Amino acid sequence: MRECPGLLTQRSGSRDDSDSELTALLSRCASGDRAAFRSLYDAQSARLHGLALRITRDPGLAADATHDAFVQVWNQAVRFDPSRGAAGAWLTSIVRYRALDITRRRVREKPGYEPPEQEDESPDALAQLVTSAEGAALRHCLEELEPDRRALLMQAYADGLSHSELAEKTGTPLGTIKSWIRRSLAGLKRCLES
Amino acid sequence: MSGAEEHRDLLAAEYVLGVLEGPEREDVVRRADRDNALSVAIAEWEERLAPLSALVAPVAPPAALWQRVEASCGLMAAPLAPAPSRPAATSARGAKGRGFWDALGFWRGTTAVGFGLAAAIAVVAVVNRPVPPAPAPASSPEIPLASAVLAPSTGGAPAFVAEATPGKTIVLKPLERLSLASGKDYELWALPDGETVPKALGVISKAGQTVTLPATIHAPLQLMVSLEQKGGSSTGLPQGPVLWLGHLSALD
Repeated sequence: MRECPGLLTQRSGSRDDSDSELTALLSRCASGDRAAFRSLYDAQSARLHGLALRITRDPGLAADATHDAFVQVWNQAVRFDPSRGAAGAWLTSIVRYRALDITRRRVREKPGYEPPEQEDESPDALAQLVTSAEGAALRHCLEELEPDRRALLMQAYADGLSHSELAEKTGTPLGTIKSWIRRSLAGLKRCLES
Repeated sequence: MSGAEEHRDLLAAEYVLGVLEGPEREDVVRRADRDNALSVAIAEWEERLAPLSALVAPVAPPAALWQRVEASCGLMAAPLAPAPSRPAATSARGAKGRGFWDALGFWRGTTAVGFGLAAAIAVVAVVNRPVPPAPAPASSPEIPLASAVLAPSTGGAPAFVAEATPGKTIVLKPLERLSLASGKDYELWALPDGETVPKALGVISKAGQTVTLPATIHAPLQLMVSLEQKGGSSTGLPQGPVLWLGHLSALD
């Protein structure tokens, strides 16, 4: 490990001081700076791999997702536009979408494939969110939702569960799940903007 | 917010949350490429929900993963950190790639991602259809003679598929949502096999388009898309990085 900037916290996925460092690293990556890419990897690989592992529930698939995400970051760093969103959120999205694609393709290609069960979120999981101002606001707004609706959103995001997987897991009709999630998301947005 | 705007915003939210699957999910990716408001809504939701990623504990990836990433990005030539188990196959691939790009000599130096370009040229997938003995019947113009998948030279996700269609035209279709920073454009280039100077084919829309090639350009050729300032390169050669490329075996 070469540079490992202390400010680049592995848990942060939102805009703050460490995000401006990530933005600077991405801009150096865009101009072909390999040292910056290595620093970015050192700073973010465990955070992103954790997300990939949680969604894929398979170490091999998670490694593929993390690999693909970093290759994409290197190739597309020129396309990162800080005016459209924070660097941490951009990295988070790249690895999540990759992990979702890989996992769902596996499920499609191997109809019998059952990813191992995921443990439910611990009751104090929301406490993890208070690592930034945005996290605190999001936590506050999630707490405004009914506990079961809140749990649905958290499972969807962290575990990468689709509408139908959530319906199956909770024994709730698909249409009900869809409308619960829509209403929760709309409520979340209203609360965050108020 | 109108009903349509609200619907679009919720669709973006569902996409980012990850609950959409199959065709629904793919449809959002396709729409976002044409619909800037949707792609902005997606970016907003990505940022809004990003703090939720703190719910998941970091897990260090396998130690060898960095070397795999490095190899895929074509960065193995001069490793920053000791790389004890460099696979021979990767080195050979890298060396071949450098030779090719060296042949492109003078314009290679103008690109911003020289390291990326020095990577192996992965002709990721070239889908060839057998050349028909007679001109393709007019009743099936939708069947292309040849097509190429344009992917990063370093092996990431492909961005466009290019199909050769009658009249020496190429139909470019995007395979993923492409976001383009303001003040930038994508420019298409053709580099016929055996030649060293790419020919400019003009700025292309990120939503894809049909391009007619000059009569002087002959297949087989390499198609490349570079990132340029708005309006395209002013020098007639790529000034920005080549983001995607692929090999097209024939023109109609």
